[in-house]
Amino acid sequence: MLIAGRRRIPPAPALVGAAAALLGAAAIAVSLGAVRLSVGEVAEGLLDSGDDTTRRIVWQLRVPRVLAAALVGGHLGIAGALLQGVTRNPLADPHILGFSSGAGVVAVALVVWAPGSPGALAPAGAFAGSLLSAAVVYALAWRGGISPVRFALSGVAVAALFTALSAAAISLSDLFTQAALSFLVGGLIGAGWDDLPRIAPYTLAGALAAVGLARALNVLALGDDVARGLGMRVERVRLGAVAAAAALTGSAVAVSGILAFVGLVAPHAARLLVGGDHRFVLPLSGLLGATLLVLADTAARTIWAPAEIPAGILTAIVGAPVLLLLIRTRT
Amino acid sequence: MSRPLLALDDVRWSPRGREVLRGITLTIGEGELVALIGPTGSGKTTLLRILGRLLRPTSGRVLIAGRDAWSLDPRQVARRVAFLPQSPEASPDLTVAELVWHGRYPHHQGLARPFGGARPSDRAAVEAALHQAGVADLRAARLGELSGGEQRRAWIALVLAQEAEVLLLDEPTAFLDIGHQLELLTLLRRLNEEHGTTTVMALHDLAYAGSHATRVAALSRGAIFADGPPGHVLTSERLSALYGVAVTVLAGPAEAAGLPIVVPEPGARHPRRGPEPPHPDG
Repeated sequence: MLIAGRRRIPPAPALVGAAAALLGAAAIAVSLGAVRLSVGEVAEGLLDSGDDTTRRIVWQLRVPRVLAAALVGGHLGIAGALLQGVTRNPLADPHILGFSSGAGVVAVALVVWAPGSPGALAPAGAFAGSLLSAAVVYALAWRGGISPVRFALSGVAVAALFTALSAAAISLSDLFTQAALSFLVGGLIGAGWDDLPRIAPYTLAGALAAVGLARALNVLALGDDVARGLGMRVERVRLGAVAAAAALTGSAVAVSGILAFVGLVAPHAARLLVGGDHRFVLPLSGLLGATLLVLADTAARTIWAPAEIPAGILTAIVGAPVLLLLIRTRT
Repeated sequence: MSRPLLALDDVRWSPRGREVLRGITLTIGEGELVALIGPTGSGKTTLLRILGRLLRPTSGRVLIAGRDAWSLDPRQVARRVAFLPQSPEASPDLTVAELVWHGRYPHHQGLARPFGGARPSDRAAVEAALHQAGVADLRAARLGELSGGEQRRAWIALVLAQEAEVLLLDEPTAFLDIGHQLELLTLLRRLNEEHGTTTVMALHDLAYAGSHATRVAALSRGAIFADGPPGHVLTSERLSALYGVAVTVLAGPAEAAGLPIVVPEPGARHPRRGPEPPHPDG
């Protein structure tokens, strides 16, 4: 299956437009919520000049949460684009390939059995879990080389297994149903300032890796033999992309739980906009993933305010039809 | 013999004990246009992949300009040897120019690698490749809009942009109609005559092997069965033994320098299918 996408917009305006959309979504997200703030109040809160309550809502609750949503969404978008590029499979994403569920097992284990562990441990552990599941998927799919189809099918199996393990750990624990659900479905309930420094190093590492790998992924899109003929060490590139995707996914899962569809839909939207060149698809997937999750999280906070639902429910409600549409139009 | 560019020394490949290549010794000299012929499964593709350092032989040595291919960096190899698989696939939305630019990949190092690099030498190589392959006018066209023959020439332009000394082409005419087959082989012959491009190609069509190659190497069951000028290899006895069907070889018309034309005789099976190597032939 070839990954195609008709170029509709030149890459520079597409990237600028997506960045503007992300800023717009962030502005909406900061003003909406259980308490609706006007543009003026948001500005006052941001400038630290409004009344105490407004300032607290803006600075302590909404801004960090919007930033966390943007980072997590960006991670999943880039990870999805890396995995779709490296497997040449348009159905690949961190969730379907089991990267999220591997991270989830470790994150759940830490919450259930080591509740007092330091904050930095969660993303590192989830990264390790994500790498572990990637290694298992890789090993299962390996037969003198990696075939994209075997890789995807092994991923589906491993994802099912690790999700079951997470669910088992949660049901044996005394976690509240609400917390458990928001982890397994994914969401940003309770995300705050202290989540940001935990995830940011992975953002930086993942983004740098994506920049370094973009052109190699373009060459790899011509097939393994052509890439080898051009002097590429194909397995090394593949390993690098998988490790970067695991780092991005693991750290995201540590903050948000297991979010489906963001990593699948964002790269597809990016390719529809700018075509198949990974130098543009990777950053655009990041921006679109971030925008998508900021909007989904805002809706999750406001639809039944003051009650909150996990944002993952909304990404799935939006994502599932999109996936079906992709299957109908592309196969 | 001309300067040797590629050499195989007693190369064997036997995955899981199954012998695919058994002791191949072969030298490709500068300026040769070699057609690799032989029945399906005789090891032509495997041999090309080993020549291009895509596949590591079980034993034996692969020499590129006298140096062990497996002691070289793969990019160094790619600057000397270009490989094109039988049916490469690319996104139909890629333009011809974008495809051909990928041929510069092995020439970029350090920061030029991730960012592509567009030095004057890259531009010149891409430009020359587009012209040599006859796709300069199609540079802005998307692959999906091209005919099969045009697509194949675009891929040839990619390996030409690689500026390697040897082109390894696996069935370059596969799935093309006879018009495009002839066009492509004429292109390869012209590159060979005008630019001295050295090429090794697997070929099924024996008539084209006779009319367009300067040398024909016949593989049978993973060993060299015959190797030499087309007129030497393409004889009815050799071909009948090689393919297991009786064939007649006619002398070609004078304007084609009397090169052999191979005609199978329907219904007549040759008694010996697939000769046992080694055959007393060089």
